Amino acid sequence: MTRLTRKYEFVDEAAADAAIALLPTDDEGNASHGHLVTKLGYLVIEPAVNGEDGEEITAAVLSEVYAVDVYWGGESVDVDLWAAFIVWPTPMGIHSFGSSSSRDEYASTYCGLFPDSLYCNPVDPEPLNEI
Amino acid sequence: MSYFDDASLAFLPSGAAGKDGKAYSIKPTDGTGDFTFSRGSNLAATRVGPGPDYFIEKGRENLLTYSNDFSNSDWNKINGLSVIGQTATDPFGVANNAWSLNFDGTVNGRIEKKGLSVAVNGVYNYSVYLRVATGTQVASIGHSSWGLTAVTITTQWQRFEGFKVAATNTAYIRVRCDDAAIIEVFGYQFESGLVATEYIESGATKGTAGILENTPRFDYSNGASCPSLLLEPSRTNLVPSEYFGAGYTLSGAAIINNNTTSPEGLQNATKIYPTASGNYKHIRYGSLNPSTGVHTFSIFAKAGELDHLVLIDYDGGGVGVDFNLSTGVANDSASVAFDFVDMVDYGNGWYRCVATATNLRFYWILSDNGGVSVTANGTDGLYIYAAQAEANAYPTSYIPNHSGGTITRAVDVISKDLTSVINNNQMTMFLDVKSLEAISTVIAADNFGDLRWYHQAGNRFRFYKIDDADWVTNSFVVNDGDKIALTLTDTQAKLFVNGSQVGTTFALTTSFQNFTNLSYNVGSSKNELNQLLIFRTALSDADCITLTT
Repeated sequence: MTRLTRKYEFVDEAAADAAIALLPTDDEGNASHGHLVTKLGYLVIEPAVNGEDGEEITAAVLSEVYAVDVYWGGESVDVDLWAAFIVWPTPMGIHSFGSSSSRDEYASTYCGLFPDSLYCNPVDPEPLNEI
Repeated sequence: MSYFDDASLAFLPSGAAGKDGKAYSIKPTDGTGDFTFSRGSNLAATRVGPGPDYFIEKGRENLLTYSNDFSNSDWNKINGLSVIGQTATDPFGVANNAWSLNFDGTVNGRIEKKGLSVAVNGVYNYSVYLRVATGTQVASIGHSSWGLTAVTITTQWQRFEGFKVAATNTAYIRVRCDDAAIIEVFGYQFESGLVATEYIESGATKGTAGILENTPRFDYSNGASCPSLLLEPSRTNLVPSEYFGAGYTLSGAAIINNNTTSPEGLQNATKIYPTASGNYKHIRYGSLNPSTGVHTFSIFAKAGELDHLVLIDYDGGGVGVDFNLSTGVANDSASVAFDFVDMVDYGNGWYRCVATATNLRFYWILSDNGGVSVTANGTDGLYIYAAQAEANAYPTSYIPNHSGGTITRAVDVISKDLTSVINNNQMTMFLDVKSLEAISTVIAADNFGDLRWYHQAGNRFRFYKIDDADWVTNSFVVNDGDKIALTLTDTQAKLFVNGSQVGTTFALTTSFQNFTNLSYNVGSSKNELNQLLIFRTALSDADCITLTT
């Protein structure tokens, strides 16, 4: 069964933790679901500029939203718990779960949602009949 | 007694028996003792394969469909290119398995795969076998906007290849020829990585090989003659690629890609050498400098003319760990900065150099003798392969990454309904396991009074009965390989480790009942499982001592 890779954004880490807390736990408080939650944090929009010896010249510019990727396991009903926070970066964004089938599923779903996107309508830089 | 004969279930990874989604028990033999295995990551998981080579093995995929069916409509025939047919003998001697293509001399004549989605900044290799009937012929392969690779085809089959960092999110892989020529073609492959791997035939779907998404990893690390089942937590490799040419900064140093054989057994290790004499000639990865929090850094390295690679803490006064690639000894001169240092021998002169640190601004320094200075002559250097950075206090197996971003390997879990191999409320469970500290649940056995095996701080293991909230054994510290036996009867639990009973016999508040499902590594720790036996009864103390000795 192909597991679903989905991507989410929250206003901050506390909001992400609140969403994570909605996922099933056992009576010890340990996660009892089969999902893999990976906190990506505030993504780098512009990387820092460093000098020759590594000293920071310009600080990195970070995203203002907190990113989380989830690799949903068998209990796909839990996907709905996070629906309000889902985002769809161009496949696969900057992080993946190392699964070829999940990568293909994400790309297919993305193109179903955004059929007119450039990603789903790539322009051949070299036309078929170019001489 | 024969413990194997008496066991109702015997799982021995030494047989390395499994397939995608299954890890086979050797007893019972009818399949009812087999474990379900899940991970869900193929491209992010590796194992060390069997001897004598002990190469690192990865999951692989040929991203091209119809990789050897050039008549298929997935391949566009452009500018006077026509397919004569599958009429040639392939490089491996199979008749009528390679294709003859006719280029009519139109400029930019080509056979071209329909657009493939790729990751921008990902590293991709393209390879194809080519031959001509007479003379030689110049052609080119790859994708034009990334830069084609020119090849000279001869009358002998040659596998041509090239690699590129993807500059666009779509690739149009091709063979192009501007002259009138008949070229024989076999087996086009397009894959992640710096070099071509063994050809994988594909049809309507991509071809896959090696470690698949749910392949149990029977691992032969450290020169083992028998494998153990490698069960690891989820981890993310924050380093974007094995290619040291993108995302890295080289200061006073240069690299040569694909310069020698790596621990993977492929010609994809990099030579790095100083371009000027002096201090702190180095390579560093920009986006992890500094890292925030605890991270474990690793890189495979091998001595060349130089044999010292030093990981320095930039903010700690420029001192660091000297990895001596001739002796295999790491000398940590920055004990405050580095929490954990290790060198692991991968054979053929390769070592995995590992260090754990907090809030580290790290440089890999080329060194003459373990200090910060190096002498350059324009050629002398050493070899590196496959850097990794993971946010935790100890290393896990190598997580290959060519995506240009980060990649996460999911947790390995085996599970089994034990109803058929347990006798209601009594059993003995024997484990031969090596485990690293990871605070987590190792075993969750449901509906048996909910037995849990917790891995706690301080590398301690302890068993727990959830419905009575009882710790049913004392805790014990896990060492480098332990044999553990837990016995349960209606009224008591006992624990034996390495030939001795641990603590006293525990009187159960209520008995365990109706054991149904056991999941191992459910809480995501790092284990190398050598053996798991289940007995229908509680073995005697003497048997448990013998079994665990």
